[in-house]
Amino acid sequence: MGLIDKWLRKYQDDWCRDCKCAMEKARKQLFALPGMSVGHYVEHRDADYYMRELHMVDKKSDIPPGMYACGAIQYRCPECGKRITVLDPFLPVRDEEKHEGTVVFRGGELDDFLWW
Amino acid sequence: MKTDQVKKINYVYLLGYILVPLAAAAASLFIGYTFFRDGGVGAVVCMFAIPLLAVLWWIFAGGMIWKLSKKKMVRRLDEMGIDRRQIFYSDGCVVSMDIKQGQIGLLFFWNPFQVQVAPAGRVARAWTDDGAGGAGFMRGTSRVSFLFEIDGIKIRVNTFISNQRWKMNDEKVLEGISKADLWVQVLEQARQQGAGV
Repeated sequence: MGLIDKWLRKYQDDWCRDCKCAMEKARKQLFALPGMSVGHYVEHRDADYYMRELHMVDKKSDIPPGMYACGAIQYRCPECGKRITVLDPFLPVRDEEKHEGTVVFRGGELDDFLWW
Repeated sequence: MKTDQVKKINYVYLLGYILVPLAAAAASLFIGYTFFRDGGVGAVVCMFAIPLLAVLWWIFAGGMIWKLSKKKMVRRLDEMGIDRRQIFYSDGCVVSMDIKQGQIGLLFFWNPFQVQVAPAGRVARAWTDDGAGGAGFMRGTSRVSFLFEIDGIKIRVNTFISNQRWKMNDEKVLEGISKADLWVQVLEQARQQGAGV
């Protein structure tokens, strides 16, 4: 395994670790995180938290100032068909976004909740 | 509980804070020079210890009084049955908002002994100042704040302050703008509720 492949495996969320290829974006959706406000962000990695707290919204302007948003993207490997979900919590501030780091779910924990 | 005109500065406290230690240091130096010219413990106390205490007072007392006042404010708001979950601590001011009761609580650095509570309907307007300045790659800010007018007095509450200029899309600046926007929304909401809009 080459260095670049190692790097991709480690840092690229949208990279199929088994087939060594880029995954394609299957679906995406924006959510509001009303329980998380500016200055009080705490990282969560458990799916239950997101199932409890995420509220679907149509566009970024629906989220009031100071409230966190969360982008959800489902990736699908074109070769093996494996799916992963990447959550990207961020603070929308006017035209800018303050990202807090992605949370990846590889076991389909959120599939029923996000993509029903 | 104070419901009369909001007062940002208590001039007695401000002048006392500056002048009392100054007067004490001056008097002490005078006494030391007049009565303890030959040295000794009296000279050390008058010429060194008391002026040093005055300097220490200027450096530390303000911060300590402010810290104690903030704790006292929280206790006072609890005693008055005001919901203080929406509270913002800034460098020179503490703002608390009870949207249900339509009450705004204020405490100022230069008026630390008075917890001032006023109906939110008295807030005339509220806005954000992102402090943006400069052009091109130099564009940035060193201060983000939200401002509001109450009883004709403009109150500025800093949500981000720095001694250097930061880019407008810097994380700290974005957080400051978001906090300011949030508080402007809270103040507007409380103002409209108080004014019966």
